[in-house]
Amino acid sequence: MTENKTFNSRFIVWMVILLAGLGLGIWGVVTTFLSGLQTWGIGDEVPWGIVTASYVFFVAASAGCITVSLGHALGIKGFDLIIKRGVFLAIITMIAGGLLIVMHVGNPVNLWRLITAPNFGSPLGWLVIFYLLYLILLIIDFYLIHKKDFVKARIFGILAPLSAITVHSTLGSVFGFASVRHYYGGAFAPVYFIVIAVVIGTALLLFVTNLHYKFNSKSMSSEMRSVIVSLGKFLGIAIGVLAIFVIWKNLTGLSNPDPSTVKAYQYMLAGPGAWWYWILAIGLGLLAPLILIINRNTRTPNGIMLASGLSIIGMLAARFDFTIGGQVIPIFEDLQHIQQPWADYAATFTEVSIVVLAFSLTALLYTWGSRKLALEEVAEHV
Amino acid sequence: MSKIVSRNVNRRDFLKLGGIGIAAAIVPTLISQQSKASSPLAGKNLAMVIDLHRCVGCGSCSIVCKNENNVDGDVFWSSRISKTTGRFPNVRFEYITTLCNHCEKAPCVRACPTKAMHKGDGGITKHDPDKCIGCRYCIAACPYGVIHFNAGKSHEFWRDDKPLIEGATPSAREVTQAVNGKVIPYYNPARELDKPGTGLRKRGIVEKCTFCDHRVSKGQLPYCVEACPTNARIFGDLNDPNSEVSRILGKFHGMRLKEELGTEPKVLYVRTYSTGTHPKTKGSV
Repeated sequence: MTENKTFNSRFIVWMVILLAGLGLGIWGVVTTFLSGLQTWGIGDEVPWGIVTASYVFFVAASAGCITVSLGHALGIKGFDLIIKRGVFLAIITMIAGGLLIVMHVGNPVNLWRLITAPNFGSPLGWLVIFYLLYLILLIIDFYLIHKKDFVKARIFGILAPLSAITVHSTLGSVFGFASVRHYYGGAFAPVYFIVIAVVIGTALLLFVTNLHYKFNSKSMSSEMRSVIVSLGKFLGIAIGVLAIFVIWKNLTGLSNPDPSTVKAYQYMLAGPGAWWYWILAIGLGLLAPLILIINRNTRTPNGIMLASGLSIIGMLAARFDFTIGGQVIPIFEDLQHIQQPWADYAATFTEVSIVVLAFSLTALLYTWGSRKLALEEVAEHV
Repeated sequence: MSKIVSRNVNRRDFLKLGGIGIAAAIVPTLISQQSKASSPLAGKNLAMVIDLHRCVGCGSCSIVCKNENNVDGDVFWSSRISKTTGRFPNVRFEYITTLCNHCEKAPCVRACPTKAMHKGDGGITKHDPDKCIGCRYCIAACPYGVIHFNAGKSHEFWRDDKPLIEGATPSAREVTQAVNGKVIPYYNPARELDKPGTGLRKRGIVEKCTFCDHRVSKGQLPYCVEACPTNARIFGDLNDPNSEVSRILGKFHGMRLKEELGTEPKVLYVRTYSTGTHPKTKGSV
């Protein structure tokens, strides 16, 4: 990760960790392909598990990174310092997301049908088309920035974020259209997903940029410090908005006339999911970063790095909560194959290893990019 | 001369080939149109009425469905909701048999990104295993919990080497080998006739009740209807005012599961499971 491309001991340890993660992940992929999804914890009651949740996380990260970089196209001061890294992060998180969705489906051999014969009545049908469009726009955007063609890059700097918002709100609608599962929030879901994407994307961009300086023992320029701090403030605002969403989602959920919806919220707020929900999703994901950013003493690059790191962990946990929350109450109170009173789901080792693969792959691609593609380059405003 | 001949031949060949080509393009279209027009289910609106008053809760619909459709051990295309309600001594047992509702506005059909889940002739909600990617969005969208995902190979029990009772019974694998090893024991090939590959389900895709379309298209009743010992399941065409289902629904209010969702299920329930009566009194204060 160093600019002079040395292989110091820190770099070697880093690579060993990543390759171990990659190896574990490849084992998970091979196991899944050989034995099928029976090696996962999913079933008819909970068809979507931790891989699906992580997939949402990665797509959110990608969409968020690129949405934040809209600041560059709009000519906001300082964004020229982080844009290139942001667009690159958006591409690699999208690749990791793509890997997760291929693993998520039970019969990937038929995936080509999504392109040749999609059902335009299904949000999932639209999603794939938007994905492809988004990925193409991202790659062109990055290429133009890399070639320093900032005039054209500006156009793509607007188109790519717009397609990112389209992609992620469509992903939200995939959950929203499952109208029998009120926990997903119906029409609320697509908007909720955009806010989530902004939080995750901003946090990831901040964390990675800070980590880059820490890892390479480089000192930040005063300009860079001020960008980090102002983006940190923006993260604080985004988390604040998300907190408002979360409060109202829970309050309206608890007073829903449908008893099974109320049960799903009770599961999360006071049932078996409570510790996970309060400590990880709310505590680490929302409260801790908010306190770190509001407090003037911790609103420093180091404090913001901690805040964004905690937020990333919390948001990943929250994606899991969200995905499981909609499925935890059986559709019918008593079908003979349904578990009571809550549908049981525990991620298996194979599933977790695939999530580890997605993270290792992202980190590995980033490491490669930071050594080969000069991500710290300034993308001048035009 | 030879050039002319060869050109003539070429032209003739060309016309021949062209003719064959056009025929090849048109004939299958005509045939498919013909077969569409002559599909025995076209224009019908098939539905099932379940008379809960006649139902005794024996569960034979669930069992015979497995025989007919090669449904795996822990999968139930035909299932049931049962519960004991009330407060002692005033208690009651309820039993409602369930199956795919073949909704008019099926959420699974809307959800499926590849049109694997689709509405077929007669209003049957069908699933095409060749198009399914196994995303499980239909399961998330179905309000009735009647779609099953095959996470592993179907009928894995029949590949088990362990005998049920050591030294007394054969293992499941031995039984499978006794019927030539290619298919599972008690396998019903009729399911294959509609579409090859549907008899034994593939790994990684979903499956569900088909209203026994392979039987219905030949003028036979769904097997659960055929086998119900109390004639509690009645099948027919809602578009035909003289069909038995239309007549019953003229007499009794047809209840549908989760009617408020607007999915318009084609499985309707009449009367109640309870066979009890109550004395002719007006009660007291």
